Parts: sequence; C-alpha cells; structure tokens
Amino acid sequence: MPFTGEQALALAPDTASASAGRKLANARHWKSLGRNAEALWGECQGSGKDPYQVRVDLASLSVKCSCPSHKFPCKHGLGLMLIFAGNPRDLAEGEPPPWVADWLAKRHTREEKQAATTLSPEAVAAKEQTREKGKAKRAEKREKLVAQGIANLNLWLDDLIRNGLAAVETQPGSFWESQAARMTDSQIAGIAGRVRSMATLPGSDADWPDRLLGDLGRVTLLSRAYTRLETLELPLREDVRHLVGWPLRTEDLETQGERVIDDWAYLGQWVEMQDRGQVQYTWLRGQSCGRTALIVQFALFNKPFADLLMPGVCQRAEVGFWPSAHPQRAYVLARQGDVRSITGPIPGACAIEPFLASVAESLAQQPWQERFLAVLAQVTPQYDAATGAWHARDAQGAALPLTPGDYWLLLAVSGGHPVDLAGEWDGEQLRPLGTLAEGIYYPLGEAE
Amino acid sequence: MESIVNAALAGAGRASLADALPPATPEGALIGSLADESAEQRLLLAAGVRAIYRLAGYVPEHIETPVHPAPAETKTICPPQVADLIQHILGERVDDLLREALERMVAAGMILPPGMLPLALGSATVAQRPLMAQVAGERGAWLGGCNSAWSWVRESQAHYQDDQDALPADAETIWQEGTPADRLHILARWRATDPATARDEIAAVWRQEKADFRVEMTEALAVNLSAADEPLLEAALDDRSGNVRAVAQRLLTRIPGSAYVERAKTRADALLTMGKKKLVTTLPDVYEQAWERDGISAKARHGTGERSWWLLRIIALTPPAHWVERFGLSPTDLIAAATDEHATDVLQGWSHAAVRYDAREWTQPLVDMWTKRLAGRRNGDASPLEMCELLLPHLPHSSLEAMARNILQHGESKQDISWEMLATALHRPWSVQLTRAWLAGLRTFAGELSALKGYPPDWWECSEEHVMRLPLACLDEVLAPWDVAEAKSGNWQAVNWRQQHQAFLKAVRLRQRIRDEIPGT
Repeated sequence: MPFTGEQALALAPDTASASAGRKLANARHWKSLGRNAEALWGECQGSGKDPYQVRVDLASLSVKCSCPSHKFPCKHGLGLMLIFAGNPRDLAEGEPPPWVADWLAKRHTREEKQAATTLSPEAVAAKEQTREKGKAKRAEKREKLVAQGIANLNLWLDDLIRNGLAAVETQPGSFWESQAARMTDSQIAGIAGRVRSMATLPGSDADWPDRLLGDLGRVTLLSRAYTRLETLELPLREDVRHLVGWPLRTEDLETQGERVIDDWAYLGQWVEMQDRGQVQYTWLRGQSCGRTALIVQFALFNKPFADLLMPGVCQRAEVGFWPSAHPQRAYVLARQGDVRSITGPIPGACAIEPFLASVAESLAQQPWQERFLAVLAQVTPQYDAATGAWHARDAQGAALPLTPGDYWLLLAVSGGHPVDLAGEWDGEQLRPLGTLAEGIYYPLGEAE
Repeated sequence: MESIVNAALAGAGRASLADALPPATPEGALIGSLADESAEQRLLLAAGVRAIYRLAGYVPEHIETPVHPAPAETKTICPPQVADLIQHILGERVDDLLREALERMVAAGMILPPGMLPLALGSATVAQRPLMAQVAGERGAWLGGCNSAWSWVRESQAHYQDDQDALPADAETIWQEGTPADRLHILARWRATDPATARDEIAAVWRQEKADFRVEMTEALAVNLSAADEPLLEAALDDRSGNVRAVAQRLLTRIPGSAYVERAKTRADALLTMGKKKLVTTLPDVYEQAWERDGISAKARHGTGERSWWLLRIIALTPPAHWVERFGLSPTDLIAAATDEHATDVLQGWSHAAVRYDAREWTQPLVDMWTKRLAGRRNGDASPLEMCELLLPHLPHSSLEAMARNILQHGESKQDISWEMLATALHRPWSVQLTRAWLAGLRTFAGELSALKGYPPDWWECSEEHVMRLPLACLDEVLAPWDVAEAKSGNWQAVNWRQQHQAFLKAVRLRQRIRDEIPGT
C-alpha cells in the first residue's frame, strides 16, 4: 500500500472535505471503481444525474474530478484514495476506461514536453535569446528601484536606532506596515516581509527589545551585503539577492541549480497563515544522498496549493535546488517512482548536540537562515503537565523545547521510549513534523 | 538586559558604544574594525552579528531524568484492518456497534495500536470508558498518567483487574478513605467472597453515610443474600430515605419466610376471601402507620381512592403463590374469579406482585387478561396498557416472539399488544426464526414500496437503530441484494423509508465487518 488513510486525509484542504471524503470512502457510493499500476479511478454518484468521474495519478497523487467543487482535492478524490488505502480490493485491477486513459495520455504528453525542454539545451538557449532583450531592460529598471529601496531602508534603520527602540513600543501596526509597503513597491519584498513580521514584537514579552534588535541587525547585515554584492562568492550572492526580494523562479531550475535524483522522504509539512494567504513548508530528505530539501508553496486563501505534497511518503524524484551557499530551497521537477510509506530509518538522524553543531555550520555558510530541518535520533518526547511544556530529550539528557501545542499522538506512539523525530527548528523551538516509532512513520499534522 | 540592548533602547545618539560593545565579544571585536562607520550602523551591524552568533551557539536545555516509560503490553495489538474499522466506527458515532466491536476486542484479548489512542480516548463518552479502557492497553494507562483528561483509563483498568483477582491488600484503607466508586467496588468484592464481613462493614458505617451511598450499600447486599441479612434490612426499613426503604423492601421479599413477607400475608388475608367461585374484596378501613415502612404510602396515586390504593399496594407486596396455596386455585382461575367492583385494583396488585416475586406462572395469564381488556377498554383507562408494559419483559422470550410473528403475518389489531411495546420487550438479538420472518416480510414490503400510502407500519420500519436486533448469523441474509421499488418524489414517506433502509444496510455492513474482522469467542 503506497499510502495510508491518514496520509490521504492530510491532503484535504479543510476538515469538512476530510470528513466528506471519509463518508465517500465506501464502495457502495461508487458506480465503478478501478485501478492499474499508474492510476485509480471511479465513478461516484453525486447529486447530479451523471456520476462524477474521479481519477488519481498515483505517481504525483494529482486528482482530477468532473464535479464542480472548487476544493482541491475534492471529497470524491479523497474518498477514492481512502478506499485504496483501506480496502484496495474494492478497486478492480484492469484497463482504464477511455475517460481515464485520455487523461493519463494528456498528462504524459505534458510531462514529455517538459522533459523535452529540459533535455535540449539548444532549445533553451534559443528561447533565452529572444527573451534576453526585454529581460535586460526590466532587470536594469528593477536594479535601480532596489538600490533606491535599500537606501531608504538604511535611512529608516538609522533613524530608528538613533531615536532608540524604546520609542517604537507605542507605535501602531501601521508604522511597520507603511514601511513594508514602501519596500514592496521598491521590489525588496524579502526585506519587506521581515519588517512586517517585526510589528508583532514590541511589547510581546520581556525580551522583545532583544529580539527586535536582532532582527533589525540581520536586516542591516543583509542590506550591507547587497550593496557589496560583487565582493561575495557566487552562491551566496544568489542567497542575498533572493533574501532581498528577487523571486525564485521554477524556470531558473532548468538552466541553473543542482538536480538530485533520489528516493525522497516527505518528512512533514506545516502551513503558516500570512496576511494575504498561506505558506506551506514541506521538508524532504533524500534517502541515499541524505540531503535536505525545503519546498515552499504559497496560496491565496481558499485556493489550493499548486502541488500536492503528501507527508509520510517516499518517492523517487528529481529535485532541483536553487543556487545557494547552503542549498535547501528546492522544487520537485519530476516524480519518477511509486509512492511508498516511509518505513525508516531516516538518514542523518543524530542526537541534539550534533544537530545543533550542523545548524552552526550551515549558518556559517548562509547566516540569514531561519529554519532548519532537525532529524533527531532516539529522542523521548516528554510532557510536563504542571507547565504544559513539551520537550524532546535525547539519550544524553539534552533537550529542545517543542512549539507550544498538543502532541498526544507523538506521546502515544513513543510511550516514553526513544523515537526518531523530524521537526523544524527555528533557533528557539522545535515544531514536530513527523516521528518514526517501531518502524511506522507518523506525520504530525497541525490538526492533531 | 545586556548593555547593547540598553544602548539600542536608549538610542545610538545617547549611548556610549564603547560600553555597549566590549571588544571581548565577537560583535565588539567586529565593530572595532568598522571605525569609519556611523554609530547607528555600528550598533546595528553588531546586533546582527550577535543575533546570528546566538542562533549558532544555542545551548540546549538539560533534563536530568527521563520520563518513566510505558510498560510492555501484555495483550496483542489488533491488526491494522481492525484499527481501521474502529476508526471508521468512531467517525460514524454508532454507539451500539462500537460497544459490540470493543466487547469482541476485549474477548479476543486485543488492544488498539498506540497511534489510535488519542482519537479513541478523546472521543470516548463516559458510558464507553470502561470498555475503551480495556482496549487501551498499558500504553493507554500510561497516557492517562500524562494527560489528566484520560486519567480514567487507569482507574477503569484497575477495577476490571480486581474482578479477576482477590481483594487488594489495602482494601480496608480504600473502604475507609476511597472515592464512592472505589469503596463500592471493594464492598462488592467483600460481599462476593465474605458476605458476613461485608454486612458488618455496612452496619458499622451506616449512620455516617449519605442517603445515595446508603442506597448503594443496601443494593450490594443483593449478592449472596441470606436470612442473616434480615436484621440489617429490617432496620433499613426505618431509614429516612424512601429510596433506601424501597431497596430494602425488594430484598426482603427475596428472603423466604422473612418477617416482612409474613406481615404482607397477614395484612392481605383480611382483604380477600372466596365466595362462590368469586373473590370477595374488602377494602381496608383505616391506614396503619406501620405500613409506611413496608412500602404502602398513605397518600393515593392520582385518580385512585385512598382505600383502593391501600388495597392495591397490600396485594402488590404479597407473594402471589400465597393465594394459590390459600384458595387452592391456579393463577388462571384466580384471575377469572376477580370480578367484583375492586377487581381492577386486585389484578393490578397481582401484576406488580408477579414482577416483584418473579412469579413466572402468573405472567402469561395476567398478560392474556390485560390484552383482552385492551380491546374493550374505555377512553382514559390506561391500566391495561401500563400493566402489559410492566409484565411483557417477564414473559418467556418464545411467547414474545410468537406475538411478534403474529403481527408480522396479520398486522396489528386492536386486541393485540402493539408492535412498539413488543419491540421494546423483545430481547436482542432476535431468534433466527423471527428475524427470517421479519426479513421476508420486509423484502415484500420493499418491493411494493411505490404503493405505500401514508406512514409505513411500525414493524416495517428499519433504520440504523434496528441493527442490533439481528443475530450475527443472519447478517449475510440481510445483505443479499434488495429489490426496492422506486418511490415517487411526492411520496415522501416512501422516499424517507428508502433513505432509512439505506442507513440500516450500511450499519449492517459495518456490523458484518465487526463480526468478520474481530474474532469472536
């Protein structure tokens, strides 16, 4: 079985879809059900006259359904996956009907097209040339804007620190927001985001001046690095440009960046709400290469994320890394194999001290990093009922605090025994993403 | 707060950077090399460096002692398909099915996998807790020690354990200081193994306990009840609490030859005499205060005269066998002989007495008599219905099923006990025979659904509530393909029936999975 019911449910866009999908996870709602090595399909009787045609591509877990729902995947897609996860025998193995075969064929041509572009450097070069002119012009204009933005940023920073941070405690949110908006206009969205997140700091706890000063200091370092860009080594230059505001484009991965084919384990993901939408962070680790990939997707509210990334599974895929002094941000270029459950062990799992040493090392390469994948070996989750605090403690007694939350599933599967734990470390707290206990990998979702 | 932060709070214009950034720190050393920069930039850059150094130099906390781990399981973790099934049932929220599934798991010595415990424990209702605790295993008990919302797991398991084992060593302490539930548990164990000690303990604490607890303690005497308990029960008849007295009265009727039963007989003898094949009833003249403690209240039930009420209660507390013995007539003949103006009160008294004294040979004749009265009853006379409801559960199951089959075959007539009443009294599961008769009729009904006018008769109703009446052996027959007639959209009763029927079949399928996937005993 390539995925479990829980993993399929983790794909649901909301809890209503999940429970609706669960209801449909019964063969009697389906007029027909089938599968082959590539895909699942079924016809589900809805409220309309004709049953909905539902298909799932097993390689990418893409869902296509003829229902009018704007949710993605819809309840029919989830139901079909749940039946497959729970009772695969309900899906008759066989040749796909035309409405499935056509869809699969279309997907194949599209993938081949993509592959063709990837494989032929001449075609890429030709395309590049035609784009070149317009691009150069736009780039020049942008460079100017950014330079102006950075100059304004420096003035603002100097003003802030000259007058003293004590003065900002009483400033309204608009104080930060208007600065951020100006920076966005100057095309330095990366810095704008950092400034926007500073708004919540003043007065938030006793340490706020320390935190705010640290954030301001790092922005200053960034601004300084950008003005001296040509003195930096090439990969770090890319980091700084991106951190300032140059977007990471998927198409750039065709011409630059590193590609790694491996069995990638999707260790976990979480979603952060932002003012205009939601950001999804998914952490992957290569089973053979041991490398870490972070896939970040943005979606407007109520819109699905472009790619379905299912936590808790493992799949052979080609992953492209954007150039960086510490390459981590990545994109799944091509999925190549079956989707399987993670059974462990997770490569690179280590105790807390060595993990923290690796954090220091990667900061030495790229000092503005804010999130790190921790794969901790043999740690025991602990809950202190008196304080409500959660910790992961390793065999040596070193412990990291977990992000405040309820981790009863983690506690239940560990039972006070050591487990392997994957999480996102932000320098202060560890956000659990998944755990491997007795050979079973449990993604630890937000909705626990 | 460190001086660099103080400097930033105060403002770079006012603070001394040399003090804020001692050269011994990495950031201080760095600032020394940036002498050309403005004070603001030097402070900001130093702050940035400091923040990154701190991130890189994070020192983890140290926790000296690890948590005490959960002990190894002694039972088997259920296979994944059973776990899936339980998860499914939890999502559907069908209590009867969950109970059956969990009971089968307990009988099979199975427990839930740890990954399901938060969901299962979190959704268990108070009524489901004892069973849920049995399938939670050692891990569940351990989790309950971490999360106070689940502390009931350990308590429930401990009680269950006790039922198998001897009394705990600290039984005496628990009995003196424990929670009411724990104390009653100890009491039940004592009563089962050493009835006399239990009785003495009850007597010793009697005066200091609250009424509710006195009720429970009296109830505990039901196990291993003997004549030795009579003095304590007789004393309980003088208790302030009516509930305590009611329990004591009930238990005293179960002690052969008890003074209580003798008093009842003497009281009753004055009221009934036999004339020429007819019973002659004499109403009691005055209320005696001593009757109160035996369960005869002075105040009549609404709608009954005082003296009739006393008659009814006196008969109700007298063993029915006494009349058979005294008049040498069978229950049927005695019932036939009750014809005078007070006959209804006598018959009601006998009905209550038949239930109280578990006099099986009286039940059927009484039901037959009340059923006859059902047909001829005048408006507002609720007693035939009430008495049928009282007596039905005490009829042999075969009689109940015969009545049910009669309705399935011929429909309900005014002379019959209603289907609704029967269905409540019928034991679950039904016999295979009754189930098949019902199914056959139901299939015919489904085939003719389009002809349905108005509501379907009660006995052709089927929804998920009815799934537990099926014996496990009949589930496959129920799930054989159905030929349900189309229902016109205007005929909402038929449309509704189809929906209910679907829900019924869905619940049956779930029950079939429970039967097939969790091994039975």
